[in-house]
Amino acid sequence: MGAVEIAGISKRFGRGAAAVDALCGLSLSVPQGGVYGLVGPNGAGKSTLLRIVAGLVSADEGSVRLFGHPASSSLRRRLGVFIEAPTFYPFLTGAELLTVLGRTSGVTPEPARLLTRVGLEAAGNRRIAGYSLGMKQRLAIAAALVGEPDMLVLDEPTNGLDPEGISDMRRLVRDLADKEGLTILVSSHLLDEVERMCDRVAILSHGRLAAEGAVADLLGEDARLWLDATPPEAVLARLGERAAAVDGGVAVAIARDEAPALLASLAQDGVSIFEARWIRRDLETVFFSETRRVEP
Amino acid sequence: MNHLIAAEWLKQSRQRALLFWGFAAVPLFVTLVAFALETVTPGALHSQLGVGLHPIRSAMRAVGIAGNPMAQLFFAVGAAAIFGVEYRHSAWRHVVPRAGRTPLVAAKFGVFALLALGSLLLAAGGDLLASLLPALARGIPVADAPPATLWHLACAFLVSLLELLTLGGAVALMAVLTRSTLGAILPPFLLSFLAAGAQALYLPSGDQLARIPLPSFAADAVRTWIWAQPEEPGASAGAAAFATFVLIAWAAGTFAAAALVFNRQDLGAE
Repeated sequence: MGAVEIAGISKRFGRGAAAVDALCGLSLSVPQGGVYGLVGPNGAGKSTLLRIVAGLVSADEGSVRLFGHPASSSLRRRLGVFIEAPTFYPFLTGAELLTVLGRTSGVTPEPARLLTRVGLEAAGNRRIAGYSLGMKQRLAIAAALVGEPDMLVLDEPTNGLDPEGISDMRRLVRDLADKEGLTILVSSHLLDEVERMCDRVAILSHGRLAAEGAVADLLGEDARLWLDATPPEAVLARLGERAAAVDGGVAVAIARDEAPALLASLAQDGVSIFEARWIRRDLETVFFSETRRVEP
Repeated sequence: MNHLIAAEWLKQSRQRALLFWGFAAVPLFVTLVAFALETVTPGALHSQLGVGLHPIRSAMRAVGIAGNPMAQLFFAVGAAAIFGVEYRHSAWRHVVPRAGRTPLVAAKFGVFALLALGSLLLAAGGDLLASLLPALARGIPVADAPPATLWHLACAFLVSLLELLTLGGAVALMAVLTRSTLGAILPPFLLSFLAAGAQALYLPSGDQLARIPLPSFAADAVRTWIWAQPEEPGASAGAAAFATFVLIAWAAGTFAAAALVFNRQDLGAE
């Protein structure tokens, strides 16, 4: 049973010639536990999908199941939601906001504990209007944690943060998943962050699923052995289509257990090997190759 | 439901300026006018005219301020502050997943009703104090002739509250439809202003007025009936009952429509 199961979701905004298909029959399953990332170019449908999960937008077609049951208001109370920009009631203080949200959820508000959790304890009695963007992002996480949710839905939580803030946010998200057992569904356009933060990733393009899987699997596919070898032509000639000149060396598409024999054989043929290391695709490479395959 | 009203109450209690103009300005104005009239009017005039101070009738007039189009503009500002705040600050995203949509709108309506109730109580209480204290100090007799009882005051109070609830419902519906605070205020205000203008121009009688199913006409018809009691116990009782039904139907209908539209509304961008 997945924490979120999405089946055949479609959503169109607007009418007639100006209509935009935000999601086109998208299906995916977010397992319980861990951090699940959504990546995709602008307009891929990430925010629309998260809004549908949160119950802010209704789907034209398809279904959403939460924790094994059709999504409903009562099940959505188990979600902590942070959608897009951290907009709040600017006339409230941080502590008052968390109290309002606690009362709305029907739980005893614990603003002090939550503010401490996100490092805002000193600013709890200040009006939100005076918060910096980074403080608002952290307050948004605290707001999402009100009511002890089983799952967090976070839309671009690192938007506008400086490198330190991004690092703090990544650590916080990982801690919530690893130490507190929360399921976290997060969208981001920072591919490097998603690669570091998430256990599984779905790549969306034009409202469709372009690729999905464990981060390690997506990046591990087509791992290549990079060689700094002299003369490189000898390696290229010997391996043909399996080898390509990359970054001043030769990258060889080869299975891990074939590597020792290949290196021994090249050395026997008089090729000098100065360095050999495995290179993986990064998420950016996967992202571009997968999103290009999906037609609008 | 109580926890939602408590949450809404805390939130609204921090919008102090809007709440002042929406729910405190009108009773304050009523109080000041009552005080000014009572202190400026010579005590001798009361004696010459043979009239005493009628505290209950005075309070009935004070709560009737709910039917004044200018007062309704202020109440509409207060209602828009309540029903439009999430659109104004893109904040539905924080509360909708926590409580569902209809309960959230119902909580807002509950808070509006409480504030409207408080505002009318302030108007009645302020008027009583502002007129009674100076009059007593100057020895003007307190009388209630023709007789008016607390029952009359309660009826006048309820009619005014119902009229404000129809206004609240209309503002709620417009806030949801337009997703804007300003858009929520203008249509109900213009409607009440047009109704008042039409009433002033065409001057229909009580029964004719009561047949027009608009809140301001209905409220006026009920008030006319209340003021005619107890001398004319049978006067326009049917019309008053119909007018009361119209008020209740408007309040319930606009609220239900607001909840219905909100339930079907995409919050892609509040």
